[in-house]
Amino acid sequence: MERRYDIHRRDSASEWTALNNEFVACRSCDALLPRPTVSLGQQARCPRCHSVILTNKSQSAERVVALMLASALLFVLAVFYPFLKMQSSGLSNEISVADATLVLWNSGYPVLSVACMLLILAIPLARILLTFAVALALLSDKRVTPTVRHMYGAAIRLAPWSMADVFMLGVIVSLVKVGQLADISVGIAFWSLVALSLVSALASASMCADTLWQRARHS
Amino acid sequence: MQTARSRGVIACRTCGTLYTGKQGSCDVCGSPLSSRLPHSLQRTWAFFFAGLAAYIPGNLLPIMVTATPQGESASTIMGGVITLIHHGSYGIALVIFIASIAVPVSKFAVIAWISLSIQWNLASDERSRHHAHELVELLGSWSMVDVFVVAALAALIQLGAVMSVTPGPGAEFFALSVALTMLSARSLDTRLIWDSPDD
Repeated sequence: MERRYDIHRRDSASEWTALNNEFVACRSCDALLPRPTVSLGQQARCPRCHSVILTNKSQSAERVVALMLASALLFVLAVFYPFLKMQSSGLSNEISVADATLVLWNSGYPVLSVACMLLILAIPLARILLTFAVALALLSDKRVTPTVRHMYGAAIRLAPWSMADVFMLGVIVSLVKVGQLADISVGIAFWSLVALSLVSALASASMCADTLWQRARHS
Repeated sequence: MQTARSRGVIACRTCGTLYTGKQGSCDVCGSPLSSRLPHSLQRTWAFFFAGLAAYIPGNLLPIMVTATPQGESASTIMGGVITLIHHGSYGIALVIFIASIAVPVSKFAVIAWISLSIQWNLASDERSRHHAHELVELLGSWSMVDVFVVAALAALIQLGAVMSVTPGPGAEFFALSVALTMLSARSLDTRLIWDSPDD
């Protein structure tokens, strides 16, 4: 067991594999630790900063594929179906999700409009598609190609800019504000976006990235 | 404590893969590799002050203009919170106050505190600074909520002469401020919190 390992010996492929099989570094504080074995459903935390360093989630790929199929369907419903409708003094106005970003463009804020379109629609969609592709690759027992794993790297880095859930909180707040002056009815797109926010949170919690990275290092 | 850096190892921040003597991007996930983010503090401060500069007009200029037959009224973020309190919507007022005022202000304070403590080697508890940074990253995007409220209201309330809502210039500055402070927090490499000054 007590094999001394010289981590300063330069990179041959097997040295690199051995380094990654024997050690793990905390991504938040850089502590270098012997790689712990994590049993199914457990996670290992850094003894110094308490960040999670390794996870091992059960049936991760199956769950994520199912959740991403649901997300893709909900996304289509959210984009193409009516979102909100308001009626007041005999007048009525029905909007789609895209209208909430287009109104900014039409009011003279093109940059803000494009930013909102990215944050509410484009980035969440990109994350769904990237995660879907990665989970499918994990599910099939093929080797993890560079394209797939770089795609997931991109999906992780995009995560903070995916704001469909923040948008839904904003919409709920605005419904409370308008509720006093008009009749509001919510459409299929509204419930789809609520469900999409929940499904996305569930998918993020189900995805076992460490399994992907460890497999990628061995393929 | 043995760190990756003290052993000449670089860990990828996205996927955790370890390398010795490698530069450029990670072979496994494609993210840029660095032992510590280059110019972390300079970048953090640059985004910090840009975010602060955008935060001021974001709060002083109206984020929303409401037009009714009685005339136009413009409201700022704080004005919106006060109106909500007058209407008795305390819960919603609290949500907007926390997301648009309390969180952004504490974000500026936390980022400045961590950056200064690193720069001046202030003796300060590493774990509490680390947790504060995690919280800032977690809450960052929720500050956008008021911008989305304006977008939703402006799209929805288009009833011609009866009532119409248009976004105001404050919304754009405020959104810019949120994005810049998110970039500021992400530029701050948490590994610097744990580095001891004599390394």
